[in-house]
Amino acid sequence: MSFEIDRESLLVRVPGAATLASIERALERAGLTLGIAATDLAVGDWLAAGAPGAASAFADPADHLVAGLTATLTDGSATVEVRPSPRRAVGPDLVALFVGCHERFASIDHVWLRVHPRGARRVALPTEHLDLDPPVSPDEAALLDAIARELAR
Amino acid sequence: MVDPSPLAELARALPDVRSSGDAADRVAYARDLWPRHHLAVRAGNVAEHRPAGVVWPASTEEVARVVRWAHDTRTPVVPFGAGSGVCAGVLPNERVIVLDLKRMTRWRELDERARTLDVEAGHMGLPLEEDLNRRGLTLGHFPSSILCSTVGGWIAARSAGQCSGKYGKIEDMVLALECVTGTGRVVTLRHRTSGPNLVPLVVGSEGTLAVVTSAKLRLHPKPEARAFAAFSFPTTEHGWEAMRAMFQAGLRPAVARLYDPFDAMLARRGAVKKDGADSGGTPGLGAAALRNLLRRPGAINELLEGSFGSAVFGGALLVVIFEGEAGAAATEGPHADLATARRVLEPMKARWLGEGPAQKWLLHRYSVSYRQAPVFAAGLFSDTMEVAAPWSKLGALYDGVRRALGAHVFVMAHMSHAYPDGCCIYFSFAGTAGPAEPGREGWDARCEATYDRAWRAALAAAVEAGGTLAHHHGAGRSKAPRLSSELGDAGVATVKALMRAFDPRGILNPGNLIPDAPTPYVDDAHPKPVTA
Repeated sequence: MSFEIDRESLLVRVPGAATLASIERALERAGLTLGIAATDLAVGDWLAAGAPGAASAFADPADHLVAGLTATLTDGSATVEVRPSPRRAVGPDLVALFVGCHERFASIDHVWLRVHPRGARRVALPTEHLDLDPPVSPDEAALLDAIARELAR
Repeated sequence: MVDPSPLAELARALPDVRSSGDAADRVAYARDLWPRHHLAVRAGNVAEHRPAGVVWPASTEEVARVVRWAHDTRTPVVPFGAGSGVCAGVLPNERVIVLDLKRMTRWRELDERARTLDVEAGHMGLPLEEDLNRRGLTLGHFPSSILCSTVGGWIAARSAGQCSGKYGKIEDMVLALECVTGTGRVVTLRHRTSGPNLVPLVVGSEGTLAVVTSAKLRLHPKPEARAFAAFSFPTTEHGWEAMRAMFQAGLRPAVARLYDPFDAMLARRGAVKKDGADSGGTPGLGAAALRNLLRRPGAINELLEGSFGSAVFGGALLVVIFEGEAGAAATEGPHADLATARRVLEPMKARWLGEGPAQKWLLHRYSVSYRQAPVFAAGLFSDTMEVAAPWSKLGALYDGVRRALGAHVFVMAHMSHAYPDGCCIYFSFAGTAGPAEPGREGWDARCEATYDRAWRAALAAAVEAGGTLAHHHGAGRSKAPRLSSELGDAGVATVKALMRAFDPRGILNPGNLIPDAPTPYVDDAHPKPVTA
């Protein structure tokens, strides 16, 4: 599996099927790291589960884990590409639609992940009093159902 | 005879909700601050897009009743904050009811331990920050529109503030949203790190998915200390390489603003006159000379770019401000961070300019936003364009957009939102009337033609270079026809699916983000029919 490292931007483009461990090994050779515990989980599955173990975006608001991705809708009807960009303001954040969605809407084909020079200083603002993983409410569940329905239309 | 206007129907259905169909109110709500509107106003078209009326709900319950009525009657509704958007995100018509949220300003819950605030969407920016400061807190969000924008407006457009380097953009501050969907249902969406997260779908949706009625925002301690610095660089590229080095070294200056040589000259001069009043020139000989000069923007841009511009204007200027707790040890706090930054920057051709330029910038930080009126009064126009890309594409983005704009208008740039993986470039430009063409003979019509050509070329160049169309102003109707060039047809179809899920009858700000009709403003952007 080939990984495309953008050293200048500290980004790596990887297939969704690549394991975190294999990505980490490739990054290590370049003096870089994902900065998370590298397991044999496929990165697409890891992101679909909400990237457990990754630092919260609230710990370093200037930094995001995913800069872009390509995802195929669950029914295979279309592939959505969100090109890498540090931020954008062109409507709803489609990355957020697919990360943490447990493949309900799409499966991740490729992803641009943020990487870090080994030993680099990391920002970690306090988040311990923030509730960052509340349960899904009935209203949210109803909206998620509606999104699934409309994407399948 | 029964008045058939939607406003009259609304007033009959909901007599206890404050509303108006007054002509002056309809004119006041006919537009946002899209500069192309200014051209229309200057040409005498004061309110081409006036709504049927305006409604001012005072509570979420009233918002829900209005939206339910709109859903039942299929009446389009445009949520409205303070109208400071610059991309025609607000563009009513005679069928539209404008839903102004500025009566909704309550603080619902301040949690000082968790440092969060649940505040209603109509709260204006500056008083919010001032009230937080009195409690020793800050939101850390300082858009240059802070005097004339609301919390809801920030969320709608994915706003960025001047301290984004430390605190992020508004999307990095929202923990939960209360909103009213297109069916009139009140829902609370909460940020979720490891599960489905609907908050980032509504943030940036520009009033097309739901009406945001309140937001739970993350707060920070008001900074105890600040460390100021300014550096000059031989070229703009040297400057952005230095910004990249800082952010990739794990430094997070609250403010990091890099100005190209011409913009740096303006920044050094300061944005206001010595008496503190905003500059407000009137048309005269100077304006005439400027109009003539701007007829040849390509030549001016070429002259000022590169080594000549750097030599004349003193190079690029980087303003840096670190802020935070004072720090218990010598290795902590803003001054220690600045010392680290100097060690990173000085081998990169940075020349230390002291604290003065950064302190001066902080003093006048909001002034520049209010300098547009004299430009338009002089018969010219001005606008801004904020694009972003990974660092590896920044040079191509800078050159491509600058060249595309520079063929039509005078252009300068600064970079004020940096991240470890990329940066935003903020182009400012000014132009004048081009040659007459069929259907566009008058001065203002010729200005519009130049304006449209500049935007068409620049948006195409941004996409071609691998950049995003917008970093923090949003897309609005001005960039909506180009959305598919960035998101692809599948991305646009996904946005449409989200709109149907949240707003099945399409009553919320229809035509925004996804055009509902060919637009005269981007006339080559519809190679195929647009369908809902």
